[in-house]
Amino acid sequence: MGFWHNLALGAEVAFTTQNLLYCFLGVTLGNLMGVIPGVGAVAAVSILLPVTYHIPPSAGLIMLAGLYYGAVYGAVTGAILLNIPHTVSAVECLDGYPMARQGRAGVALFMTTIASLCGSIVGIIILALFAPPVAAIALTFESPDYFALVVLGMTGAVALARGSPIRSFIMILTGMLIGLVGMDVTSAQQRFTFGISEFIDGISIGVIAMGLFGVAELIANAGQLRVGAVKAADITWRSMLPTREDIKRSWPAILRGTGLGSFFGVLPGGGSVLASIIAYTTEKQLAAEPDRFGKGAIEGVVAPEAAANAACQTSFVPMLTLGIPTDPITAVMLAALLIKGVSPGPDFINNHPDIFWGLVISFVIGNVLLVIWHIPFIRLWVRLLTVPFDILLPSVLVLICLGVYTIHNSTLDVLLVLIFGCIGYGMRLLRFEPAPLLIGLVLGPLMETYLRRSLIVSHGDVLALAGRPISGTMLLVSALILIWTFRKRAKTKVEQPPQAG
Amino acid sequence: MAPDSSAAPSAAQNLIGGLLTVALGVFVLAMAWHYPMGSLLRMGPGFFPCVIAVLIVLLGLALTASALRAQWGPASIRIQWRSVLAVAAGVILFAVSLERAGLVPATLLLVLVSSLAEPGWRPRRAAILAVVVTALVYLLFVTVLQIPVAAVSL
Repeated sequence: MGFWHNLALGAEVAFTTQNLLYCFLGVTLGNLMGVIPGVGAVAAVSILLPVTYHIPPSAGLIMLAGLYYGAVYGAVTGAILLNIPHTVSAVECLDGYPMARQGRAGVALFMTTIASLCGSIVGIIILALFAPPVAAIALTFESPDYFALVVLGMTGAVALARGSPIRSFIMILTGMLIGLVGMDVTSAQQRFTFGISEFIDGISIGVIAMGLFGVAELIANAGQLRVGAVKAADITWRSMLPTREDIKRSWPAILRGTGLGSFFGVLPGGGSVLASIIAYTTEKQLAAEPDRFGKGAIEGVVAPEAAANAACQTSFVPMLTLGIPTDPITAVMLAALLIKGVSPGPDFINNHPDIFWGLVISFVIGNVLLVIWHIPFIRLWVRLLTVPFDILLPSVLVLICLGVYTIHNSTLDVLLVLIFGCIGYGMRLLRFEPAPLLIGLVLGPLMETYLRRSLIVSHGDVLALAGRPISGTMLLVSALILIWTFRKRAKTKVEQPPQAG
Repeated sequence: MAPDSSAAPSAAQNLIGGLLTVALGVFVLAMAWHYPMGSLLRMGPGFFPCVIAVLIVLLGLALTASALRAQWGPASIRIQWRSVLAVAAGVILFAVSLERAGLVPATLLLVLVSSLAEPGWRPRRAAILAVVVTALVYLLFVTVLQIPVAAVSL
């Protein structure tokens, strides 16, 4: 089974009419929802999650993945033109919006598309080359190793999340608690079900994600004044042409962004948001004149965009080969696959080569489609941005409510999405990030299962958890990461007294 | 990095967040106390939740303590009551009416009520939007996806 043979198999799967259709649907809807203020990638993936229940797993995965990178592509449009900080594109606002105000929106949109394509292609190559060897190593893992891996994933999420580590720790643990709701698989004891029979199977991740990300985002965005810098008619072919200077500044930034993104995408807790932030800070530190940043420096737009897209692709490596999601979006996708009876893990590529290689090829197709959407058809999306929020909010809310209802045909789920929406809005007000919560929600039950299994095998010996070379190393690394994170925090607090306000 | 999330959380945000976290931990601990704990060899269903709840209480206390030590700046918590109430009322009405009155009235209600979230409500505009969205939803969910809900049931 050579590499080329696998790619041919992938092409065979990806080029079927059905999969091409779902790939097209995924990237187009993802792009659409990425552009719309207040939706974003997590909400896009969760809203269309119910649709995947009715289609084969490979088509479902291709569509959800398309939604993910499509939304990452789309979000930057809103960031540049309207200064809307989406979760994935928050840093692109800093220099993209000033570029738009200088009448250079066309250049910014064109160069980010090129940066996205470059980041994605490198990310896809890394996925295709590295996923099979990682899976081969993971085949030797036993319960304690998986336990250690989950611990490593969670500490990674704490260390890399935005904001204070205490807060992200609290969010992860809260997610783990929500993951406990339902019947305990080992003892059949019902936990935290409050006597409600619908809770026995647990609360669906789609409901939680749509509440925390979708509904909360809508509530927070209502009543905010938006002033657009650009009209659709301003984006002409000519305005998209970069100058020689732009190209000279951009290409090294794109390459650096791609490298950083590919690396941070694989890390647990990393994902595209973190990658783009790190790429931006790196560019600012490397720049000869850092003062240009925040005033329309093209490096500050293309590097984060390349990083976000590269990370988006490489985050599939741990998700598919270890069954460990690194960010909320891969967490939702993992849940979707589990529902379809396909469990990602070390055996995944061997057992389902058609799904894996089909997905890899569909990434290539999807990225080409997105370039087509973004260069010849960009004015369509720009026009979409001018849709007022009093039209968007009710329309998106209807989609969320009906989407949630169709998961189990239950109106209780609709009320739950509202409750999680209000919780998510409250979390926003108190500055808690929802992303670690979703990671805890998915990893929590895995952690409990592996812990209990390991302890049964080792006859209750807790030290045996760290006794294997792989698990021991990973637990040690987790401990070091935790110590480093909290010490770094303590230091920066002493050096910089908190600003008032 | 986003314009609004660059500053560190204020002392008020830490205090309220910390206290709520402690409350959550205590509540969970009170519930999980009644589940069998088991032993390390055969861990019962109560063991894992209790450990998490204790950790949550400790972290909540740490967050509260950091707020008490910090300097108090002006509180920056502003709740957008208008959008919270409009969205909540819309979704509750939708959930209550969907299976009783049918998809069409439920969607109309949800659009009309939730459009109140944005200040400067224009009734005619909201009514037109409600009709258009309901028509699209009917096409997508009843005609194409065929969800098991009546369009209108009286």
